[in-house]
Amino acid sequence: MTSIEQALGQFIDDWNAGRRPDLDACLERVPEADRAQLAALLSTWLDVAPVPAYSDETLAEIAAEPKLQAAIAAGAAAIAPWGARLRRARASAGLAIGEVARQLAETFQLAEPAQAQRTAEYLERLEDEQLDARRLSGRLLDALASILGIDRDRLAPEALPMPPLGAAPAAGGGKLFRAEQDRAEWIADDIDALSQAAMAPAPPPMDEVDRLFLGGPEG
Amino acid sequence: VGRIENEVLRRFVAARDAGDAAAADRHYNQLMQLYFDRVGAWVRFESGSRLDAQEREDAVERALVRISVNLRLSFNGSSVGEWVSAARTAVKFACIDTQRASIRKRKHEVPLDETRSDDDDRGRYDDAEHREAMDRLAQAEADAARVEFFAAEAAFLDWAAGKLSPRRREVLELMRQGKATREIMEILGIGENNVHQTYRRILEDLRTLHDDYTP
Repeated sequence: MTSIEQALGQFIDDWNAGRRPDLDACLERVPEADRAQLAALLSTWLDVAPVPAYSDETLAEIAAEPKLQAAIAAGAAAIAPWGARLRRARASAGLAIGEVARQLAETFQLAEPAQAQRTAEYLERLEDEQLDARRLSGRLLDALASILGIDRDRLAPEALPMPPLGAAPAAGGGKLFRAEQDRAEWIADDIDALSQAAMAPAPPPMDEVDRLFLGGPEG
Repeated sequence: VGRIENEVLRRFVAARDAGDAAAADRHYNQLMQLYFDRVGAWVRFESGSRLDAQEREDAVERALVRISVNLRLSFNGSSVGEWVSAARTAVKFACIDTQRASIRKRKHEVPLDETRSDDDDRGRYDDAEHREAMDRLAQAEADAARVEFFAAEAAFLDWAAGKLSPRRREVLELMRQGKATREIMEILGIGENNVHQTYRRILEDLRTLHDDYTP
């Protein structure tokens, strides 16, 4: 058996040289009673360790790791439009839209046939990019990931576009510009818009299917 | 130290935000390769004995997917410290997700063989145990969201290095430059055992200092 210091020193040397040391093998080199202590030291080392000096061959070996390739593919898929991602995941799972809708209806106990039908219609609209995926509820995404047999992250809706690093902060509010217009004109515009909204019939209340597809992450 | 990752990360973020997909892909792939082994090791430490070998493999894959998607869609940091912090958070959540999936599976597994003995139920959860296990995971998830990781702050290392003895500070700097034990022995004129003991003391000091550190 090796001492903690020797095993640690060997691991650090192997890590820095890009020799991809095996953690479990390293831990097994010391007596069982010392393994937790060595694990704590190695964990600390990996938090501060530099990138190993990998050779080109080692980098090629890492690049060929199936898990890495799957993750890179998931990253690439993540920047595809959401509807295309859903369609691809559904095709991979070999499920028709109707079957996904049926399983969702079962999961959320949507007993009425019309609800399963509307669920299928919502799914079609999603795949056709006619619905904003950011309005989907978190529980719907959980259920879809489970039905399609994929990691939940693969269905993460696109983030809002990010400003470039170092960009100037947004201006302090467009209202400032409005004060430069004719006050009577913009007050009349607002009153007109409010009147029209008041006269329009109220939309029907959301049911469970609407909440799943339109209710937002907490819906 | 950290120059390679810093440069690759900077180029990735710049290319991504500029809409240069080809360059973003190149730097993104490179970053994922450079961190592949570290993610595997983090999962190993994070999961401890809670995950078996197969579950650990699943957790590595989940973690890589999380990191990959996060980097593509929402990572908006500019330093390796922020990237490491985001990656470690992803590892923590991936381990929790894997454990949760495993608990769900055990809860819902129905043995196909109806002639099974009572012993076949070993390893499955009853309702109360299942709820308790899920509650523990929910708590772990809430904790994970709050955790700030060790290496997340370059400021921590700057601060901690100042607390180490001059010799340990020197050795830490050499370790983080990727120097081998032999080289450190030659530079400092000390023996192998001495260098190895110093490694251990430095890492123990860093663990202790981290507990005292206030960002």
